[in-house]
Amino acid sequence: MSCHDAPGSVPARRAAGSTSVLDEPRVVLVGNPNVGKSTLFNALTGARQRVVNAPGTTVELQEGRWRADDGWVRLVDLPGTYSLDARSPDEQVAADAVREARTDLVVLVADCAGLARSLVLAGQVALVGAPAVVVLTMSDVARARGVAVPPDALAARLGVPVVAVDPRTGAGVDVLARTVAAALETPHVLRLDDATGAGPGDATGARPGDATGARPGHATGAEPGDAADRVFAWVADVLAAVRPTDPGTGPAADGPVRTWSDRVDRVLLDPRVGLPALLVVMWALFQLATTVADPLVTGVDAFVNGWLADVVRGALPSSGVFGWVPGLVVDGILAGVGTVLSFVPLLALVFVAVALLEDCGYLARAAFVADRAMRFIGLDGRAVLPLVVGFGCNVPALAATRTLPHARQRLLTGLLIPFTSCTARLTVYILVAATFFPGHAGTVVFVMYVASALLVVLGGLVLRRTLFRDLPRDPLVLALPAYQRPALRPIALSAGVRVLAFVRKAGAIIVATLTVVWVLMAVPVAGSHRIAEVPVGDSLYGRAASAIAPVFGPAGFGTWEASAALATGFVAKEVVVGSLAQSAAVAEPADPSQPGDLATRLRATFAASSGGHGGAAAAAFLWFVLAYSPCLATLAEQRRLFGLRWTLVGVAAGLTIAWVGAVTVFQVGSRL
Amino acid sequence: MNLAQSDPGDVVTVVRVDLDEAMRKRCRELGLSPGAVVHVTHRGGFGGRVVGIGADRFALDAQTCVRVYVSPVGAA
Repeated sequence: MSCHDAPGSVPARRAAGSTSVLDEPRVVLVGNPNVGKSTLFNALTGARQRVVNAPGTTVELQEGRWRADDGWVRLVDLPGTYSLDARSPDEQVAADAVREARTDLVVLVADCAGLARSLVLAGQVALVGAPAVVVLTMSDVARARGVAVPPDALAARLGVPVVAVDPRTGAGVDVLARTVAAALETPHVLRLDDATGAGPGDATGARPGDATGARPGHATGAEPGDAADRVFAWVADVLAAVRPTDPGTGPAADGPVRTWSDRVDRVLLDPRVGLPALLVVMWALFQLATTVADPLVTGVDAFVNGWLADVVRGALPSSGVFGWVPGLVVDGILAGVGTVLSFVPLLALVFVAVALLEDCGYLARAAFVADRAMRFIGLDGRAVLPLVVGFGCNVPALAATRTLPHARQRLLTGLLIPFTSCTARLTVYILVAATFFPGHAGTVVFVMYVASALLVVLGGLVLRRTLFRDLPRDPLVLALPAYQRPALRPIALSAGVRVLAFVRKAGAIIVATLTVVWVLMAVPVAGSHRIAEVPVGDSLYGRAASAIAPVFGPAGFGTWEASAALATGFVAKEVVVGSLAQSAAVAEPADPSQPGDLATRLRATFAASSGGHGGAAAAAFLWFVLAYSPCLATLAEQRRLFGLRWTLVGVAAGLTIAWVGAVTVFQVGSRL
Repeated sequence: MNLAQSDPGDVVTVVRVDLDEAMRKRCRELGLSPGAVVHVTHRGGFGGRVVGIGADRFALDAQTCVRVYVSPVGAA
C-alpha cells in the first residue's frame, strides 16, 4: 500500500516541490556506533548540513539535506545506539526519533562485520513498525573476517530493500538514493515473521501519529521480555538463513578468525605497551593543541588585530565627536571577532585529530586502556582525551567531549575541563612566581599543575556523589571496531560544520561581551577624560573593580588592580599580565619570567594589601587564577553544548572553589 | 569459572551473566548471553579481557569479567 493521494503524504510533498525544508520527507539514519553512519551522512549531504540539538536535550545531531534521486529529503544523523531500549540520553534521542510518526523513513545502517548486533536493532525497528531501508556497510571488513552478507538474500528475508554502500568511496550511494526515493513512495516495514506469526509491521505505508507523536499501536518504552525474546529468535533465524557459515552463529569451537586488527591489538592492548602508547597519543594531541596550533592562532590574530585593524582604523574618523568610534569598532568588536577566529584553526585541528582517532578505531582502545583510571573519578575512559587537550586549551577540549557517547558523561567532563590548567594561565603563573618566588619559580609552576590535576580528580569525585549520582556506573562492555583507514573528506566536512557552529553560536556571545567590556573601559567616571581615553582606574570598569575588591580582602589581594586583572581574566587569561601592567602604569613585560618594573609594583601592591604577607597573597592569587572560569570562549562553548543553566553552575562552582581556596591559602600562608 | 580466569586463546561458552537485568539485556543485544561461544583474544591492563563473539570484538573490564561465568570448550 502507498499513500499517493493523501494530502500531506510523502509522495505529495515530494511531487509538490517543497518550499520549506520542514516540508521535505524526514529520513533518519540509525545504527550501532562505528558502523560508518556519520561517514555515510557526510557523503550524502556534503556541506548542506548543520549541527542542532535534539529538542529539550544537550544531545547534538547533524541534520542536512540530501537529494535522493528526484527530490530532496531532510536527513538526520542520529546518535549511534545498540538498542531502542535506551541506556543514555543519546540513545533515547535515537529511539524517540525512530518512534516518532513524523519520521517518514528509517535508514538502518548495518555493519556486515557485526551483523548480529545490527539485526537486533533492526528487530526493534520492526517492532516499532517504522518504514525502513537497510544499508550494509563494512563489506570489506566482513570479507577480511571471513564472513559475507548477500544483500539480496537479506532483503528477501527482511522484507525491506537492502543496499550495500561503501560510505568512504561513495560506491552504492546512487542506488541508495533511488531506493530511498522509491521507499518514500512505497514504504516497506521490516518483517518480523517467525514461528510465532507475522510481525506488527505487516501494514505498510507511513501512518499518522497519535497525540504523543509516537507511532500508533506500538510501545513507546522498552519492549517487554517476550518481544525481546522474539527479536533474538528472529535474529538467529535471519543469520542462519543468510550466513549459515557465520562463526558467530554456530558452535564455532574451531577457533576465531584472527584478523589484522587482532594482531594490532595484541600490541596496543598489551598491559606493558597499551598505556605508554596511550600516553604518546595524548602527548601528540597536546602538542597539536599547543605547539602546532600556536603559529596558526598567532597568524589569525595578527591578521585580524594587526592588518585588518589598521585598515579599519584608517577608514574611520579618528577625531571630533566620533573619535571614539575606531576604538569601539577595532578594540571592541573587531577584537572580539579576532578572538573568535583565532580559535578556528585550533578547533579544526583538534576536531580532525579526535575524529581521526575515532574513525580509525583507536578511540575505543584508548577508552579500554584508560578505563580504570577514569572510572576512579566516575568518568568514561574516553574522557582522558578531552582532559588532556584541556591542558592546552579548554575550548577545543570541550569540543572533544563529543566523542563521549553519554550526554551526562559529556556534561560531567565538560564541567571538569575548566579545572585543567590551560597554557594561557601559564603566563600568569610564570609572572607571579618570578615576582614573588624567584628562587623557586619552576617548583611553583609545577605545583600549580599538580593542583590542577587534583582539582579535576576531587571535582569528579564530588560531582559523582552530588549532582551526578544518577549517572549509572555501568560495567564496561565496549565494542572494539576493526581498525580501518580514516575517511578524510567526511572528517574535514564534519570538522568544518562544527567549527562553523562554534563561530555562529559561541562567537556572537564573545563579540558582544568584549564589546561591552570595551564600553566599560571607555566610559570615564572620574577625572576629565574623553571617552575611550581613560586610565583604567578612572573608568567604569575600574570603578566596578574597586567595588568588588573588598571581596578579595580575606585572600590578601583586595585591590582594584588585582580585581581588574581577574575580571579581565574572566574574558581571557592571556590578558591578565597586560591588565596588571596597565593598572600599574608600566610596560607589559615581553617575557613574564623577566617582569622588571612590574615585579616591583606588584610586590608593593600585594605587600600593602596583605599586611606584609605578599608571598601568601600571591599564592592565593595563583590559586584563584587556576580555579575560576578560564575564559569567555570556554563559557560560550559550554553554553552552546550544555545550556546556560549548567554554564552558570560551573561558573558559580569555579568562583566558590577559587575564593574559598584563595582565602584558605592566604590565611594559612600568612601565619606560617 | 569466570571470564577473568580465562586466558587469551581460550574458547569458552557463556553459562551465566551475573549483571543487573538491564545490563544483562544489553549484553544479550551485543551477543554476550548464555550459550554464546566466546573466544578470549587479549588480556588488557588491570585484568580486563577482549573477547571475540563471531566477528565482533568486545572489551570487558575486570569487574565485569568476574561476573560472566563460562565453561571451557577447548583451547584454540
